[in-house]
Amino acid sequence: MSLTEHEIEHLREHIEHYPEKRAGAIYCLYYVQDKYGYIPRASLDEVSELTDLSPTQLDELITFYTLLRRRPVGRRLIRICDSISCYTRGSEQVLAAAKEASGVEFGQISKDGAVTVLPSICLGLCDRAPAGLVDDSEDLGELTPEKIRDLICSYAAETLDSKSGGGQQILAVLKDQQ
Amino acid sequence: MGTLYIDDQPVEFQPGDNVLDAAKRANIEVPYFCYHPALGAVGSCRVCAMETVPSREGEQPRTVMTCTLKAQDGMRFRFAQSDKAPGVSKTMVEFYMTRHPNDCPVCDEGGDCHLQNMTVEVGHAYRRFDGQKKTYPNQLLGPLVWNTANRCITCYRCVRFYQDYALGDDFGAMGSRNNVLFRRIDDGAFDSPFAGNIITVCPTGTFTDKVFRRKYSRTWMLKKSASICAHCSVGCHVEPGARAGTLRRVVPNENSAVNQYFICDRGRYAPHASEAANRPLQVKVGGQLRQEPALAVLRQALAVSDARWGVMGSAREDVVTNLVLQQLASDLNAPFTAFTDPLTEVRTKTAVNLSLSAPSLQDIEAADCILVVGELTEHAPMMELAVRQALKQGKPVMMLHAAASLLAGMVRKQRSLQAQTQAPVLWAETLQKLISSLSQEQADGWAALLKNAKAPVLLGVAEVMPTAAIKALAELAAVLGEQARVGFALPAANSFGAAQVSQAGSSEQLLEALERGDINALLVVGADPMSGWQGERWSKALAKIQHLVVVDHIHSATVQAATVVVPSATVSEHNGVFINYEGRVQSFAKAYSRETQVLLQEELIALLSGDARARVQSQLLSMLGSVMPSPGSTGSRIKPATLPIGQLAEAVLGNGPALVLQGWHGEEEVAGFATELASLTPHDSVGIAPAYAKALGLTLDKNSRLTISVHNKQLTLPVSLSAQVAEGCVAVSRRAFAELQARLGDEVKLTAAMRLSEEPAAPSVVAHFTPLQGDNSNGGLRP
Ligand code: SF4
Ligand code: SF4
Ligand code: FES
Ligand code: FES
Repeated sequence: MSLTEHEIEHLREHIEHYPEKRAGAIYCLYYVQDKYGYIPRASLDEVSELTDLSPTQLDELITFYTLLRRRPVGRRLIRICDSISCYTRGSEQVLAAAKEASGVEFGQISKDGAVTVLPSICLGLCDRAPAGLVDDSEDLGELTPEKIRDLICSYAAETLDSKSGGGQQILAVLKDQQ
Repeated sequence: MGTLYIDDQPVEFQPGDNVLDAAKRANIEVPYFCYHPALGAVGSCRVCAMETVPSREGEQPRTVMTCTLKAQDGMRFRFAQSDKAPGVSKTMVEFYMTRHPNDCPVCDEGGDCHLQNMTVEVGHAYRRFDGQKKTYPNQLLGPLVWNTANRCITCYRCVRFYQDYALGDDFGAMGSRNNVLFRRIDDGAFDSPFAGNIITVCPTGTFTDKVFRRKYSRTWMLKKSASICAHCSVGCHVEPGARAGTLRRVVPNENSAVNQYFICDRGRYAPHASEAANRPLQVKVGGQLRQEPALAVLRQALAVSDARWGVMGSAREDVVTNLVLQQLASDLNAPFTAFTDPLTEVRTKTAVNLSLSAPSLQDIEAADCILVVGELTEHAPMMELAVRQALKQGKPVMMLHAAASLLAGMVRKQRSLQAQTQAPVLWAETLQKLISSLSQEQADGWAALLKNAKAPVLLGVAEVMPTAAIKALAELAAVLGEQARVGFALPAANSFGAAQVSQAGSSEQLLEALERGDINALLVVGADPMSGWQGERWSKALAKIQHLVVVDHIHSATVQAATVVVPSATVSEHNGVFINYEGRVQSFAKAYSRETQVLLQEELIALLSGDARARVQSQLLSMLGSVMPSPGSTGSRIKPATLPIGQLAEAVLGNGPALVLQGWHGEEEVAGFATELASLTPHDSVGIAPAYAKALGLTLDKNSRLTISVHNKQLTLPVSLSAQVAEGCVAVSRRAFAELQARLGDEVKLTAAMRLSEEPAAPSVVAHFTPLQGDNSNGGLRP
């Protein structure tokens, strides 16, 4: 698992825009995450070479920011808010339903590779509580246990290639896990 | 200097103190967690609260964190008298305890636990929180440090030590909010030579001593003493703790001006060699175990009629022992040495003669420019930690070395040109060039940095420096003037003392006397000549003699060859005096007695005639002065007269690759018998720079192996490609040197050997150190 020369060149160019190399770390990490769906161990060493931050410092960054991750997730990543507004509007039940529908614990990949559910801190969608976010881009509002169950079922029904990237790779990861 | 007031009580403070320091100095028990004198204040734990007393009308009292306030004359605070501050501290501790497990009865930190002390001190006796506690995964961190993550109170002391103080980069703070974990990316042992200090700085039982936990004792039941570390020439102050006649742990002894708060992992874990399963603990004569007392056996052995004796002391035994042995030799009319290797003897003595202005660790930390010659980390870890302090402040550190060294990596990272690799035979020339460029009008590069420095420090590693380089480094210091200081890491804890008690060329003379057959009996105390640089010569010479009487506490090669083995005490088991690399005389006190009787080195004096005893006394007096430092005190430095040295030919520049030593920071003669520490010994390899390999016409990658040939001996090892190995050199471990019967600087032949299979390397030793079954110390909450 490693970045291609072309990709490294691109990252280098990007990093050059900053007064300090390490300022480019977040960009590089997102780049890697977009490529693999998560940030694998070997990539820490590669990004470390580029940014002059040690692999440990990069891992400190990744674990600090919720949007960066070190473990693979399903084809669809569903975040459901558990902060105060959403909590008062029933996010606990939504989360419980999501967990049940996915069939695995939070953070794990459902057996079919379709989804990973994660509780999240406030998503800034408090006016639409209980709120959620899919693939860090599509927002969900006024969630109910029924709605989330339906959503997860619809993701399970998606064909593997209906979403670009990830599918095969995630199934390969799952196979490794078994 | 000045006075501030706490609860109306005047409190004197020192320059640089914060209010918390001043209060502690005055024995006012202010709670604190995140503050540590060596790591500074971050004001994050919020327990060191006091209330200000308004000095002007209209001003309101404020609750402040005393660790973050610089002490100033006339400041006034309420602490016990305040109605607010103690409540703040107590509430904070209560918060911490909502995360912390109530596992004190099974916690290794018990008795030494800062968290427990503070919890009781602030009066948080009753836990109101009845919610579910969060649990966190423990991480396996190798054989030396044990992690119980639930106990963490996120004071950040551990990372502040590991990353900020010791410049390590394989341990960090992961996560955010109430989900912070202090760990490595990958499981396994730490890279830093100073990792054990996170046990000491952690105010809770999150990081504990894994070796101690296997032979645990409540810490208040331990027998302790003020001792000195016996595992390198720095002479750090340590406190061994023992119970039931066995050593359980070693911790740094604070309040000393030598190592202050910390020690290296070698100092913390090498002493466990005293518990090695193969340690000689009973007298053995001709292979038979005997019950007689050690001293009687020794007396008998020395009285055999046909013996012509030689006597060998040791640079890892204390000064008095060596003096006694020297006098015993004169009673027996025998040659004496405290060295096993003539070259090491010459280098040590040359370095000792030039160490009169050697910098203390504090001087090194305060230096504004440092030049290091040799692989310092691997020879004197705490001296190197002092260099890191200067490096961290951005002071220029330059390094000239021949094999890979942790310090070299750091220097390179800061300024890549300031670490240069070069074969040791060329070091003297390089230093001479530096000296001549100093005298030029426009010095540049290293010369300019040294010339412009107000307090430059030059450090060398005596064991690996050719004598000419040692002299050149001292000359460089002399040229730089009085502000410059030069010091040398010496090969062993008491090398400085050993140098004082042996005649010029003593080891060569003893060896030759043996080889000629002039002597047919040798008494060795605390040395292992058969495994040293001259192992082969000694082994041959000793094979011929009738009486080899060895007094030691490790199962060394020489012990194994002995006709009489007398078990002796380790440094924690007897009293004595070491002289460190600065010429600092430091005493150590016995912490405990073993259950089986071993010879205490101080008993050896009983073997001497009355005259000889008097000579020991007078020599001690003339060497150390009239005041013997008490154990635990910093000791004073001696400035002995110049030692005569004698001549010895050293390796010269050849055409082929020269062998240099690839050391590692946990390595030392005794340390090799400390099971847990020794299990971290890196796998043997042959280090070579990629560019040099290419120049030799060798195409190498990480699966290549090379055969080294030198004097009829061959050894095939996997290759370790490293730009940190000098051109013209190949770097191998001490073990490889012994196997090749080679010496530093020997010219070798390299040939490509069969490649390693492409299979991944065998898992490292760490895997053997899985937790004990039924280990329940985290309250049964296993990750
Ligand atoms: S592990 Fe110890 S030193 Fe590190 S943050 Fe936690 S309590 Fe503090
Ligand atoms: S630096 Fe040397 S004296 Fe100090 S603890 Fe380490 S081995 Fe012992
Ligand atoms: S609290 Fe849920 S989005 Fe803000
Ligand atoms: S010790 Fe002052 S805030 Fe932690």
